[in-house]
Amino acid sequence: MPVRTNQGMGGKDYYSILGVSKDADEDTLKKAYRKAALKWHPDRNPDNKELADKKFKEISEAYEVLSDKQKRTIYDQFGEEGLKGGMPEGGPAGAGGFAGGFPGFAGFG
Amino acid sequence: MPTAMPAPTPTAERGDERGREPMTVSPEPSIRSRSPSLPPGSHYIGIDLGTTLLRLCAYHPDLQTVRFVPNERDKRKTPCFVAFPDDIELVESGRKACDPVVGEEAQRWLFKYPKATVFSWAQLVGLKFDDERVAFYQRYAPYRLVKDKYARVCVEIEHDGRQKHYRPEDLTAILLTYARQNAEQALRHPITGSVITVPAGYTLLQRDATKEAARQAGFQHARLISNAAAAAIAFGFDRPAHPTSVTEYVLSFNLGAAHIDCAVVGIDEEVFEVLASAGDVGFGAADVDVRLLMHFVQDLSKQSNRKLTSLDLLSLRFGAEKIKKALSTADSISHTIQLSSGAYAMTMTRELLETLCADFFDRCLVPIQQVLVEAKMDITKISKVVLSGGGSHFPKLRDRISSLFPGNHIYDFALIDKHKAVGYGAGIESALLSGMRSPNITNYLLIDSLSFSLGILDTTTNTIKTLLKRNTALPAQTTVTLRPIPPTTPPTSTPPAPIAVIKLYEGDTTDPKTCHLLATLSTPIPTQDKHITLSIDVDVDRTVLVTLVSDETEKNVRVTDYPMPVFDVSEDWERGVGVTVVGAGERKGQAGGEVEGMEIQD
Repeated sequence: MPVRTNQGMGGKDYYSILGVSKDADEDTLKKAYRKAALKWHPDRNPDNKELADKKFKEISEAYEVLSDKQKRTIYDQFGEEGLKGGMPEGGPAGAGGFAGGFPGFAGFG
Repeated sequence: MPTAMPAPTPTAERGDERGREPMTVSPEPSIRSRSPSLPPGSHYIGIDLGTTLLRLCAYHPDLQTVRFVPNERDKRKTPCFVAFPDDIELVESGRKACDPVVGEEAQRWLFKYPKATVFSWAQLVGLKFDDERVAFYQRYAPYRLVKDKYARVCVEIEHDGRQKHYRPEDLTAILLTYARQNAEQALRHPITGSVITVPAGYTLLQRDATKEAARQAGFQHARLISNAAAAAIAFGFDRPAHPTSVTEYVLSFNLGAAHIDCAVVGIDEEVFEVLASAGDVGFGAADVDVRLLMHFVQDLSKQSNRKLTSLDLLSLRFGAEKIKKALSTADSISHTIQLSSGAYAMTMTRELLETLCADFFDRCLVPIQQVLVEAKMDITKISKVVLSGGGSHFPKLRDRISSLFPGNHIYDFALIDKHKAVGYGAGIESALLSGMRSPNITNYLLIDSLSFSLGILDTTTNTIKTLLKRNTALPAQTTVTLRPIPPTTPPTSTPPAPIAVIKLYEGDTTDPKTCHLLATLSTPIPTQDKHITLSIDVDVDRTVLVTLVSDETEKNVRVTDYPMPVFDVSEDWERGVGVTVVGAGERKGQAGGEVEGMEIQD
């Protein structure tokens, strides 16, 4: 299967969130995570809690994916949607398999 | 010293008005005015809120480090006792009627007012009345436990011939008010925040109840950290020189009177990171007292002229505690306990104690194995085992834990008294949150993690689909797509309501019966792409926010099940439809390292 980059796939770019290159090894990832986590933990940003909260969540999510070999492989090929939607065929998650599953609901809205 | 304080209005009379401040404490302008040089900002204290003892630890600007705060009797520890003696006694001792008394003074009333002197209630916080731990507690408590309108447990106090009900968190609030006043008096400045240690196995509900107690006690913010995390922080400041660029992994084990806490913590030059934690709440060193107590009761039953009253059981229970402590260092002890039928003299050996408690030690080891597996941490990567809490000093337990780890890994605190490690850690965290830095308190950050998984009920399988897994670093967020499930039953006269009902659970199994329902939420069934987007946000203080997006409608619900679970559904909820989770949205938390074929030898 051809390796696609996650650019242009619409999902988050976990590599740029952590500020590492695509071939970053485990140690580099960990160091980048620690550095970013320290910078953005809400306890370190008492005057800017909301932004820090958001940034920290992105950082830890990015590290969680990239530090897991299996998830990183999926992410490298299919981007964030590959992990969340479980839809390797591409396209928005759930667009194919579920359409028309329960027409009965149309009337409730 | 302000040992007396206004009594909180008992729950029964207070009803449900959470906005009211039942614990208003009279301002103390003299204390405040004496600290003009105090830097602006928040001032936190560390509170080691144990089951049996309370310790306060705070930053000392002159010493540039943290120190334990003495109470009004100049002691560094206060027994967790609250008593409600009859008004006449209070007035005679120069207090106001209805004032609860706290600490050693309260302990003094135990035998005179056994139905109005409460102890060890921390393990009851946030429990349902029908929890088996409540029944077990009741067997050895002289006061009655009752059910409140939320089916939670309450303590019934007999005060001046009348019954009053206190929620466990109301009692904690009395203790924390005492703690705050005590610290303000000693430190001569107002205290705005607290770092409170709680068992690692506390649920969100138990944490919220504790935060409510802190709020009632006048703290604007309360950060709750586990006992195991606090002890790991103490270790980080106590440990010998370490190449700071290398992350050190420690296993922190804390055995309190009514909890076991265990955590794997990664420590480097600036971070304490809780990689995994686990615990057992309602089971701890006090269970050893109960084993001894049962042994004494059996022994006494052989003596024909002995009849045990409820006060005798109390005497035996506290006698058992003394004997247990003595046997941590001595091989055998002779002790006499005064009972209503006369003195009961006995000799107890450590060997017999260990026989009575064999399965107790087995159970203590369970969370250790759990955290190692969950942190994906190979045993050889653990550099030190940090033991803390009164119960962790049993020689047998030390031996058992030691045998799990190759080589000698049990850490002996050098600078800190091992009994005070938890309080010390809470004190350091409080200094860090107050923004205090010194050569002794360097700029560390505690990254804590979720204690239990959060998930929703997937109605296709009737199982819980985990969305945020335990041990995920906080703050954390996850977003998933949900699909409404059409009803499988044939259409009846009552069609389904146009809402999807989403049930949020806390727990680590897939069975909704064994997990805790946090909230029942609803959202309109989407008409366009037939999908609902659900986000769960948990902040550093474990406040849970759920966002539901369906078509153009967006709904934000702050989820806390204190004092009762969130029920954010219209009257049609029973006719609402369930949901299923589309795709794999689960977040598993990060790994501490690569492990293959990990095995723990026992």
